[in-house]
Amino acid sequence: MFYREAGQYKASYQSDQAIFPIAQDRIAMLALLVVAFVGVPLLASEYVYRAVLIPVVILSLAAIGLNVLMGYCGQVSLGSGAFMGIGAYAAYNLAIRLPFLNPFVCVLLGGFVSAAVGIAFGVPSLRIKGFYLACATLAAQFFADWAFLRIKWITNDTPSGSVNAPPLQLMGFDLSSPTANYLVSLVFTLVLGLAAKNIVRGHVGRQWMAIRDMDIAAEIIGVRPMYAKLTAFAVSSFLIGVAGALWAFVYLGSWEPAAFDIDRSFQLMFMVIIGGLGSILGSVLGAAFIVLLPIFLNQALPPFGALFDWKISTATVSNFESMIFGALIVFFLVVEPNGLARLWSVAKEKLRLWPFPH
Amino acid sequence: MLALKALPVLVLGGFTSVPGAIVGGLIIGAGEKLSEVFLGPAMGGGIEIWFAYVVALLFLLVRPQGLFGERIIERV
Repeated sequence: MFYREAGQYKASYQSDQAIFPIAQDRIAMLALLVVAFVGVPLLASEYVYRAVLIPVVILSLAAIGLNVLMGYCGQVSLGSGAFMGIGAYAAYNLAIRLPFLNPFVCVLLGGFVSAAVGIAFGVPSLRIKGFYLACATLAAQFFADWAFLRIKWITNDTPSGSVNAPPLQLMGFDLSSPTANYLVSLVFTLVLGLAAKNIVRGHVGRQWMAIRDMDIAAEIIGVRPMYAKLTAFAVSSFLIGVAGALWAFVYLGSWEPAAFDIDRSFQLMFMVIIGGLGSILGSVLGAAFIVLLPIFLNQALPPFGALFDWKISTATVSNFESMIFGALIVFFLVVEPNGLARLWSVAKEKLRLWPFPH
Repeated sequence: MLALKALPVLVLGGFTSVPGAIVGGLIIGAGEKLSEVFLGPAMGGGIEIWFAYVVALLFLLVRPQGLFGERIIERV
């Protein structure tokens, strides 16, 4: 009823290839942007920014990066936490060694350093895949962890290994307030997310998907596997590296090597799998789900226990939290193996015909 | 973390071989401790956390099926 596309003709190639071909989608997207850029800064408190909005926005970018590699090109990677760390430490080193650079320029350059390292660790993918490639990317993860901890040059010889981000400013404006932090990460995520969406729609993205679906067949029809796989590693590591640099500079402020350990890699992989492999929207939904569910359980369990006169201690809450979290992930994957993005497209399909399903 | 260490063991020994798993386990287990003792001081210590994975990675480049695994055949 509200989601009718009848009468919306596509008269040019341009309108046929639009990201949002239906007018209702465009209006909804515009409304969402207005809410994100105007509504949220008017309403959100500092807690909401620090606990919910900034992590969701930055981790969405990292999940988009991992989705480019895992969802579109089909290369399993367990080293995404390491690439976040490489982006963060590269940006940090650029910022302290070249103090005239703006912190946000350093964030972008950190992404390029991460892309270069990603290409290097992507070379084994030309010969191996599946479990074997997972093993190779685990090598990247543990080697990076070790390098952040043991190579003192990377952390600028700080005795504790903990480093501080430079103050965030742009053309004389101080950007250290939570609102500014949120807007900065939102701009980065939107611009790079849109770029990723356009890359996966273009000829490079089609090559990645051909490699994912069957690499030998893709090679026979003329896709160069080396070019396709290495560009996927480069684009993915760039996005993950920028997300890592933002995570360090904007969200954490000061951080230790443990911020980018293998738990972060697994968290990103959960986001991509739950959100939906091969979907940009799915990465964002998955990031929101993984960040929000523990917070929701943490807040909801004590009142729920109080209904039955049962006072739940904090330790019990955190135990229940991981139990319910794990159970929900398993349940969710059994019910909808294709992720949140698939649920969303099913809902859209239903809404097209509602309330007359014929 | 222990379960993840099993992955390089399998890669080294070969995915389809039980003797390979035993031999791979011995090589990885002894190798990472010996590397820590003999190579560790020269490289700043703590190299046992990545040694197993890097050995498996190098081994993959030379012999992808592992020590005792069946030869991998691609079918289209």
